[in-house]
Amino acid sequence: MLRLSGVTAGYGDAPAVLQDVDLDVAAGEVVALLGPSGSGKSTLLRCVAGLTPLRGGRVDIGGADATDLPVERRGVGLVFQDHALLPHRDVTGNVGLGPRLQGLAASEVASRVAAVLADVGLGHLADRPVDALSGGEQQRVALARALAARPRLLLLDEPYGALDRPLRERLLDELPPLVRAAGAAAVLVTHDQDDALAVADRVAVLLAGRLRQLADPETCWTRPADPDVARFLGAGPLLPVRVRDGVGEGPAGRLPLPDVPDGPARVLLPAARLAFDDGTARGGDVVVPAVLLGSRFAGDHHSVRVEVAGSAHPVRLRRPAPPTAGPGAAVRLRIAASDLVAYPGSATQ
Amino acid sequence: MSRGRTALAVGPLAFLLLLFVVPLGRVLTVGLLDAEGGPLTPLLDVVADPRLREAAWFTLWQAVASTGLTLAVGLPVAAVLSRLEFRGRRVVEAAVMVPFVLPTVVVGAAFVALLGALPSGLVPQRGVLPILLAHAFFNVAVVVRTVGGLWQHLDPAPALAARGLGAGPLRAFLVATLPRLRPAVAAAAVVVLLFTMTSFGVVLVLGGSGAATLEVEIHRATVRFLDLGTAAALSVVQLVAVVATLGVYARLRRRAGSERLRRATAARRRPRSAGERTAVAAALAVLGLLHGAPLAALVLRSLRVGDGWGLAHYRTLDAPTRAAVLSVAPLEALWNSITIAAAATAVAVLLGLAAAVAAASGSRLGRFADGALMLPLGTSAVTLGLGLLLTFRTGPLAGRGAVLLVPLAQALIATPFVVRTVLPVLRDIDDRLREAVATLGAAPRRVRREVDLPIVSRATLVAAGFAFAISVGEFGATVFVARATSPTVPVAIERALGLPGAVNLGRALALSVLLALLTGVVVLLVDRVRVGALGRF
Repeated sequence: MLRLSGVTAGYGDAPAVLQDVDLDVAAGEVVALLGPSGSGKSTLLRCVAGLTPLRGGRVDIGGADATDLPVERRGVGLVFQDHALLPHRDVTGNVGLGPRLQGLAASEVASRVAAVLADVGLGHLADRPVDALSGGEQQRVALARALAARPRLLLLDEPYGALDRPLRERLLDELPPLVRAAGAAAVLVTHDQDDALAVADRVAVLLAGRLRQLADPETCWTRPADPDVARFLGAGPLLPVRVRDGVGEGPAGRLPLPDVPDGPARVLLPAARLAFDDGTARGGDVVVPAVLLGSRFAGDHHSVRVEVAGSAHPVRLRRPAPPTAGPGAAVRLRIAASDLVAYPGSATQ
Repeated sequence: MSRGRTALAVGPLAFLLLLFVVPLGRVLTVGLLDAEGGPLTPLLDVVADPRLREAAWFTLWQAVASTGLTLAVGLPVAAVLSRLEFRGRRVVEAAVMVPFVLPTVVVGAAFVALLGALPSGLVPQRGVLPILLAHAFFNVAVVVRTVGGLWQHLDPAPALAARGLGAGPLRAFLVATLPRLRPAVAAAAVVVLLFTMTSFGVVLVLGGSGAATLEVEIHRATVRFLDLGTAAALSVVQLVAVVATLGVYARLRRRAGSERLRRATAARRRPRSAGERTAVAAALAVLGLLHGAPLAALVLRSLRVGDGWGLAHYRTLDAPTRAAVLSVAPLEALWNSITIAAAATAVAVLLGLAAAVAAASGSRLGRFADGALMLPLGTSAVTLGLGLLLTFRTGPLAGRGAVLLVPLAQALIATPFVVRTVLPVLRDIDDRLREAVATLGAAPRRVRREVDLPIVSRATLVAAGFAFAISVGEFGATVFVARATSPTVPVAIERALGLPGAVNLGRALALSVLLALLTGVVVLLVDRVRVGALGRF
């Protein structure tokens, strides 16, 4: 539905904000564009919508070249964090704007508005002025307005950033079915990993204007494309090692790294794959020493903070029960050797 | 496209050049240069004349005294309204703002009505005290708005912290609150000083023969003595004083802006102690006396006929005054006022919209136009009127053409209000609104129709209401340029108040009530249209 090839963009004479971005989104798919603020996420969205011109590259929407298509003919729906609802129109007036602009008859507009409002659960608010709605309701109206225009592509720019966590999660849960039902594709810009994990079929990680990884969430968090992505996602402890003959020597002991060339490297121990070693390590598992920092009850599990020897950042692991030892105790973690991710080359930081 | 919008600034600037810059230049040249006795003689004559020196001194001290009185009344009221919650607070808040939209001449008439009804000897009917009271009546709104506005949003944490450290309420106020209010108090004081220094209608009506300010002397020199040189020289003196005051104001405002405010309003609370309840009662009593009494007296005395009550004064409004020098029926003046103000509103809205669009485009010329259009507001209306009179004594706008000059003069004063109302709205339109509508399938022209037009037209309606209210009550400039045979209502009121007899007084009061109603209704309508942030200054 959407294909970006070599997209480069920027503002004025400033250096490019986006460098050579390639991205594919299939119909019915939700892709989360994840990155820290200033990484170019919103610019990428604006390029797709046609609001920011490209310096280079090409945008295809629905299989046709849309690079030079003006914004109003791209068939994209845009949803902003601050809703951008027209203050002088009520809910129906806002939602019906797209169909009206498409020249539909009044009766068709009305039925489409009614259908979309029912889809987002706002049928009872059709005649309200928009400033009488709560933040969550306004956000649903903004989504309904975008959907009512039957876009091929739904673009959401931090749509739920201003809402509290429970409401946000509910809206995020509702999103993918709506996108699929509309036969559209969606790109969701967010800096929040939980948001991305909640809705995304695939996650695109954007760092400093470059697309560093595009994969399903589990791959992103367990096989980050490079150490920067690993650090940004907080994927797990990253250890400096020196490899010789397929074995990495480092602060956490010896790690089997059979296919890694000799020399310096960094090794990621994906947190999603780490577990406490209660003497259950089997062949093919590696055991690393760590220090217990603390533990708290997190509702449906215990969240235990540990720091693997030699890694600068602590990591949280889940356990069904609290650890028996107190803070400062030495513990042992295990991980399958095949889950280790090595990045050859010396650390830059 | 942006160049086209910038070009919109040309119209307002040309208007300003013709009706403000050139007339002001005429005032300066006539006042400083064009004299038979050589340059500067009019100014030197003014300085040498003890009566005019007296007027200059009176202008200054009555302004200072008025400001003191206004602060003395306004600060406690601001405190009560911004910190305490009581039944009827909103009504009181609205009532405080009412005088601000009333025409000056109506306020003068209201005080004439009130003081005339008091037992003789209690307060002189004309003179300094009535002027000071009327000035306080007008300007309490400025103090409540400026100081109360800040107070209400002032973070209470420092004061609470002081209390926590053991300070009593008074000490906490002096240590933690007052220092932060000081810039706002100073700014309000300077604004009141400026208003009272250039006050004309009130002083003309209430001053009587003794108390005359520079403004009144300018008017007297022009109308009674036809001595335009002296009038212009007095205007120069006035101009210097105004510019100096404005300079102080600009400095104070820069400092006032630095106070960190909480976005949320600090919660008002109900009065707790007996002292606080007394404060509310006292503030309400003073307001009732200062604000309620004159307006009540105006309405009641307009209905007082002989020993009874009736609409007789209103019924005679369609007949010309026999005793008057110029016999024009008051109702004719009302019709004049409405048509002239409507024309002024049309001009002000057109020019103001053009300037606002140009300024919103961000171009240098547009921003310059925005700033330049504010200048007439800082100039006294009498100086504007005199300048127009001096400039257009001959030419197409003289004689019969003067019919056009009055609405143009009023538009000069109303236009900045239009710009101030429309420009923030234009600037505040979120680009994302336009972008969201564009993605729904609207081409640029359609985006403007769906987004910009509805939002701006509402603000324009509000601006038009303000412009009309200002124009219809305008007195200072109008009295200089209005033709004697077609006066506006404020001019007719002032004239009738100057005539002897109960009939003339009754008609002046009746006409004042009608003008107050007209202004009030327009402002009320505007207030209904106003939504959200629209129409804020």
